[in-house]
Parts: sequence; C-alpha cells; structure tokens
Amino acid sequence: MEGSVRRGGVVFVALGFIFIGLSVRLFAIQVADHEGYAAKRDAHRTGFIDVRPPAGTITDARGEALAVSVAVPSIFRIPPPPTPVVEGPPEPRRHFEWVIRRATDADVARIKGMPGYGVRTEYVRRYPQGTVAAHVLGLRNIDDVGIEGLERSLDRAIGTRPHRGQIEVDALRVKLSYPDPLPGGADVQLTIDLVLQRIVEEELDAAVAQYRPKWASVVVMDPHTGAVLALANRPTFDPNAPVTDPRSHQNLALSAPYEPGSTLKPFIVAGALEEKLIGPRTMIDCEMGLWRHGARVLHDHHPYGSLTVADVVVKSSNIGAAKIGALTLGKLRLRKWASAFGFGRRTGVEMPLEDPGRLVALSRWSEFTNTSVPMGHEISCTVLQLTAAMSAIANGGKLMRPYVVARVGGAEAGRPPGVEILSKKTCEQMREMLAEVVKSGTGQKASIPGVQVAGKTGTTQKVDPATRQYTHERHIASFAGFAPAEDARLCLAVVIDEPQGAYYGGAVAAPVVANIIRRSLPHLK
Amino acid sequence: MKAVRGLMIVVVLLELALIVVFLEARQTRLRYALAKKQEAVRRLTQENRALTLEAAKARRPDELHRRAAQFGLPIGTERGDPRRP
Repeated sequence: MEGSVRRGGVVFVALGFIFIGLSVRLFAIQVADHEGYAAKRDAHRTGFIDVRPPAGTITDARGEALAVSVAVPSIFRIPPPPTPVVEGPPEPRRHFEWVIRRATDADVARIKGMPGYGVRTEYVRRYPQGTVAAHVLGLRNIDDVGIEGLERSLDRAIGTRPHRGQIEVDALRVKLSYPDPLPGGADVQLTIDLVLQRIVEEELDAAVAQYRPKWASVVVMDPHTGAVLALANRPTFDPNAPVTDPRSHQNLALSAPYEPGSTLKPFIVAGALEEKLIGPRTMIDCEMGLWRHGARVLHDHHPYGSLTVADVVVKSSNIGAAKIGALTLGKLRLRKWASAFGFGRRTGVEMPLEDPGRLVALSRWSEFTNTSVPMGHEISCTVLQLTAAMSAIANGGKLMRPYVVARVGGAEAGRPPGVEILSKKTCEQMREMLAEVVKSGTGQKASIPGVQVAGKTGTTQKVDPATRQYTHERHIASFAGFAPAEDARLCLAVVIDEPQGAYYGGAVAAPVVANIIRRSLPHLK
Repeated sequence: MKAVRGLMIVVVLLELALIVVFLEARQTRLRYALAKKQEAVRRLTQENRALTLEAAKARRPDELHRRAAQFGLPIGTERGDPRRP
C-alpha cells in the first residue's frame, strides 16, 4: 500500500514537471515570443499587390470618349543581392528599376522566366480624338500624373497614385482578397460638345491655312449656363505624341491676353445705357473723324459727323466710343463697367494657367486711359473673358462663370451661379445694335441666311516691340457674337493674331463665325 | 444515466464543432470564388476601356471617311461637302 502511494507520488511529480514544462513552453509561444510567431503567421497568409487603378475616363457632353487609360505591361528588374566581398567596401544594395516602360507583348515574352525580371501593369493615357480639344484635355506624363490642361487641374479627382495594397493569400500564394480601391479614378464628363468642337477646329484650320496667323483661338459657350461647348487654339498638338514645340501646348484662349480693340465697345456702351446716361438714339458728335482730347488726337477709319449711339456701335466709331467712355461715363464708371463684365480678373474656369488680363488700376489711370479703354486699348483680356462678357448681353444680363466640367464621378460638378449686371432692357437694346452690326455694319460677313447673328468686329493694331508704338503692320482680327440674336443658343469669340493678306476683323474673323454658327445651330436643335 | 447525459453533451459539442468547421470551409471556398470574380472584374474593366478607346477611334469622322472611301461610298464627312451640315 505504501509502495503504491510512493509510485503514485512519483508519477504525480513527473506529470507535474511535464505540466510545468508545457506551461513554460506555452507561455513562451503565446506571450514571450508572441510577436515573432504572429509575424510568421502573417507572413504566411499575407501578400502585397501593386494597386493603381487607372485614371478616370474623360468624355464629352454626349458621352463620347476623349481620354481613356488602357493597361500596358511594363518590365522591371530587381537585381539579385550582391555577393559578399572579402575585401573592400560592400557593394551598394540595388533596388527596383524599370527596364521597359509600356512594353510590347514580344518584350514580355522575351523576359519570361528570366531571374530578377518581372512585369507590372501600368496605364497609358490615350486620346482617341487626336488633336481635337487637346488644350482642354491637356496630358499626363509617363508616371500617369496630369501635367497640362484638365488632366492637371482635375488630377486629384481623376488621377490615382501608386499604392501597395495588402491582401490575404493561401499556402500556395493564391489571392483570397483584393484591397479596397483608393479614392480617385473618377470618370469626368465635360461640357465640350465633340461635334461642335470638330466644327470649330475645322473652321479654325481653314482660317489658319488661309491667313497663316501667328496664333488663333475660338471659344464657344452656352450663354445661358456658361458651359464651354468648344475651345480650340492654333498652334496645337497631339496629346498622344506630345513631343512637339512646347509653345503649341499653350492654351491661348485663356492664357494669352491681348488688346480686344473694338470688340470692347459694346460693353462700354452697355454700361452707359444701364446707367441711363444715354439712349440708343442719343446723338454723338464724331467730329468728322478727328477729335483732339487733351494731348491726344483720335481718328476714325471713316469721317463721321453726328452718329446715334447705335450707329457708333454699328460703324465702330473710335471717337464715338471714346466720347461715351471718357465724357459720358468718366473714369470711375468706365472702370466699374469694364470690371463688371469680368475684365481684369480670372473667370475661374477649371483649366490651369488662366491669365486675368489687365485692367488699369485707378491709381495708374491717366487721361489717355479714359479714351483708350473704350476703344479696347490699354486693357487686355483673354478670348474666354471676351466670350463670357458677350454672353452676358446674349442671355439677358447675367455674367456667367465659364465652366467645362459637367460631372465628376457621376455627380453634378455644380454649376456656378451668374451675377446680374445688366437689365433686360439694356440687353435688348444692345442685341438690336449688335444684330445691326452684322446686318449693315462692319460684321456683314458673319451673317447667314435664316438666322439673325449679332456681334461686334475688332481690328486691333499691335504694339511694335522695337518702337513700342502701335504699328500699322501687325493686327489682331476678332469677332465676338452670338446667334440667334433674339434667343441666343451659342455665343462665341474668334481671335486671329497677325493674319496675312487681310487684317480686318470683319474680313478675317467674321466669316469663321458665320461658318461655325451655320454648321453648329442645326446640331444644337 | 449520468454517462448517457455526458455522451449527449459530447455529441452536441461535436456537432457544433462540425458546423463551425463546415462554415469556415464554406467561407474559404466563397473567398476563393470572390477573389476569382474580382480578378475577372478587373480584367473585364480593362477590356472595356480598351474597347471604349477602339470604338471612339472608329467613330471619328476622318476614320469613317477613310473606311467609306475604301468601300467606294463617299459619305460627305469633309468640310465644305454640301452633304455635310
């Protein structure tokens, strides 16, 4: 009995030691070495994957693709770790390096099985419309970062950044999950109408071929909303093959301010009408083509005696406009109205590098400025600003902020509200005057059968950089207008810098306007 | 009686354990299936983008004109053509 108790005690002690040993080991695994074992476990079931969703697709107002990202393979290499050297400094450790970006299938086949080489999916941006709307869209660089145009300004919404996502894998490294997509990669719908855009580009090309200008630009807007329907510049570039003259990449319509010349006159007259200082039938003495104002002598192209305010616009009298600006409105109101139409500040359109133009500050405003600004000198604006200002007359008095982005990621991008600057009556009076410009004035070549076009021509002398004087050798021909005059569907401005062979806005820019309106209006109906 | 009760408890616990294992296995199978579908979605999205690009290129007026001309069917897509608006 005693012997069996002793044996039992030995067994109990032995089991106790085993239990204590197991407990110690368990403690070591579960508590002391927990992190090490947990890391091993995670390493077995965790993998990483390079995630970069493609940049969002950009479409026109009707859903036609303008920019699409497509997957392409790129070949990389991770060199093997350096062999240990006995003497000398250790060889620096080398890391990931690209071998071929945007490789072909043949390249991929060639490196298959080669140690240290691998294939990673990248996205390349393609612009299926070629040069069409190139300045609006801009482009992305080889790392898929937007560097110009909307690709740049909307990069945060449509672009994405490289990201290594954690995934779960099984023992054979088969993926059991995918990481959640990162923010970005949103599709964007523009207000640009591809049909109108093509018409504008074709007409601009025809004008460039005929007049060989330094540059040319057209903006077409919906005057009621501010939606930019088309925007084109020459020179231009193909975003699919962007290695061209960098100057051709400049979006001149919003980054190249110029003196608008006579296209500014309607806004000064509209200001004076709105202030009720004049009426359309008020007579202005145009001094038979020569007016001395202080130290300045002004001329008209044709000598006019007394003209009505309406005729000052229709015949584009410099003296008439200068008198309305300098004498009727005066310095403060003149500047106020130029500013009210948006001159001297950015419109806020979504595209980058917009220039505010130049509106002389009151502190630097001189006697010359009083007569220069009403004729569109000593003030500079962009083609987009001019179109937006003309839209305010076309739509009944609201200055709309131009915009090109309609929807981002399926949600409305938010239409900016307009600012009421003119009464309906003033707009009606201005519309009649501007329609008369096309009917019987300087803009007759903008007329088209069956549609009343309204607008204003501009022929601006440029400053010779050598003499710093206005020269008769270089001009900017322009036309800003809208159609149909009574209920405008589109508003546009055409600006052609230094045309060869002809230079009047009515001869060079007005026919371009007529062609664009004639071809576009049926499409809008 | 006690032994029967004990046996029943063991049986119930075993059944519960089996259910848990079955659900785990089913979850794993579903995760494999889901991962496959996600991969398919990714591939099809890429394909869709490539096709969108091809379709947009094919609808370009100059492309339509070129193809029409190939078949001897001028369709008036060029500027100044009276058949074009």
